[in-house]
Amino acid sequence: MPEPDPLDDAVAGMCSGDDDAFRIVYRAVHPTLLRYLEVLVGPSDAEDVASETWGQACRDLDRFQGGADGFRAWVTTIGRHRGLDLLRQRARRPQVVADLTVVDPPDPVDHDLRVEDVLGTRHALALLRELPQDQAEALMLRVVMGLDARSAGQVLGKRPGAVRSAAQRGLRNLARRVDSTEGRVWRRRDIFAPRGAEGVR
Amino acid sequence: MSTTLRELLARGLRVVRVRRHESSPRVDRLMDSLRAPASPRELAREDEAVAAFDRARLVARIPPRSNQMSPRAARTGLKAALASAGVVAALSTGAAFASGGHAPWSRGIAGDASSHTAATSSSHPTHPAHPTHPAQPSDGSSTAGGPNEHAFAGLCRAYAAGNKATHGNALSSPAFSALVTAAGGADNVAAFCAAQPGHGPDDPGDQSPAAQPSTSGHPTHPVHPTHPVHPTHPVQPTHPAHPTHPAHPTHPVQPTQPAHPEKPTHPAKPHA
Repeated sequence: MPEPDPLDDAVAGMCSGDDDAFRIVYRAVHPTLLRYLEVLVGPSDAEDVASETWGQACRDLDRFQGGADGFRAWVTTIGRHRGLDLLRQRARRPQVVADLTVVDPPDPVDHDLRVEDVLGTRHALALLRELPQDQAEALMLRVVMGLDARSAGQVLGKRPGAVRSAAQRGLRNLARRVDSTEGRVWRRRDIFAPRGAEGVR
Repeated sequence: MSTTLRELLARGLRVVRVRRHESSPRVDRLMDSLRAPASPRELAREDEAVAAFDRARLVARIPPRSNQMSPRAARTGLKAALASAGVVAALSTGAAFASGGHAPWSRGIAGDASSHTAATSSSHPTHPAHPTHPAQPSDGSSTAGGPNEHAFAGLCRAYAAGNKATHGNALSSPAFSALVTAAGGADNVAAFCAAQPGHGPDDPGDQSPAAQPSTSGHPTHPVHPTHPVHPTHPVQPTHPAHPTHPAHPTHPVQPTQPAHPEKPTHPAKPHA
């Protein structure tokens, strides 16, 4: 990406201790970070993990060097470690995964009655959580956060090629699922007949 | 060529088709919604994060400072402060570094400090006490704030008197900030001190009061911290020669300053 990221200045300001600059960076980075963490650990814990992530990022900020892209990758790496820690903890003490219920897409009737954006986002996150974890993560980092394959690979501890292919598989996978679910939605709304009706029904 | 071109085109088309397929409009919409602006709920903890940021910044600021003021550095700083304040001490006792030690910020320092500094500096191993020197012969006139060069001479001497190993730390103490600024950086201090006027090779002629009308010309080498020459400092009687001394008529009034009595123990510690 040859053109400078508009967030570079804010990141530089943040690194020199300006908390207004921090606010700008936070507003730009936090939403996608939170969504990524939601894909990773589920909606019930994502907020807490994100808070811990920011706390640690603030404490370690003097170890960070770089621009906006670098910061996105850096803070995402912290978040991922925190998230994986949580997943390990959960695995150690088995419990009923309540998050599975969230995976269900929202009621299609509500879909156009409520605020489309927020609901759409939650819906999309829930769909992503149905994907294999590596695909979902790769999609979040590459497509949503906009990290290049190399940075995403560093965050995920993979080679860039592996990240690319995971993202592609994720997209294909997602396309199948979306077609099936949305077909269901459209059908219920009686707008037109389901196209990809051979999917899950 | 046409085959290659066709091949390329076909491959390109395939890529395009694959891309198309991968990013169906619905998936695009999904991805867009994942990139949607934050909802208020998502930013609900923003203030909490900013507070964490401020806290971390405060904490981050403290450690370097506490490192900087390690006990040793603090001691050196105190020594330096005393040295520059103690022109008087130099006058009476011939303390090594005090001869021209007017720091720019030490102008108003009371003459009475001399008695304390004198007492303590006499215990300095490298500075034999000079019993023959009346404690405050020329005190009133000598406490006057000297011009900067005198201050730097004194600071240089204090710097030189410190342990070589701690010079780096010493220079970061507030007492030396004026010196570091004048030298243009901590790295230049040694050179700067060496270039100080009157800072020639050790000058035994120092002993005669008339020899050095300007006290800045102190013979000690800041670059030679261990210089044994320090005992020659009794030179101080030249202080009255300071042109600026009469300018401070208020000095005799200040002997009651209580600020210094507590410091005497510091200069007593050997630097080397």
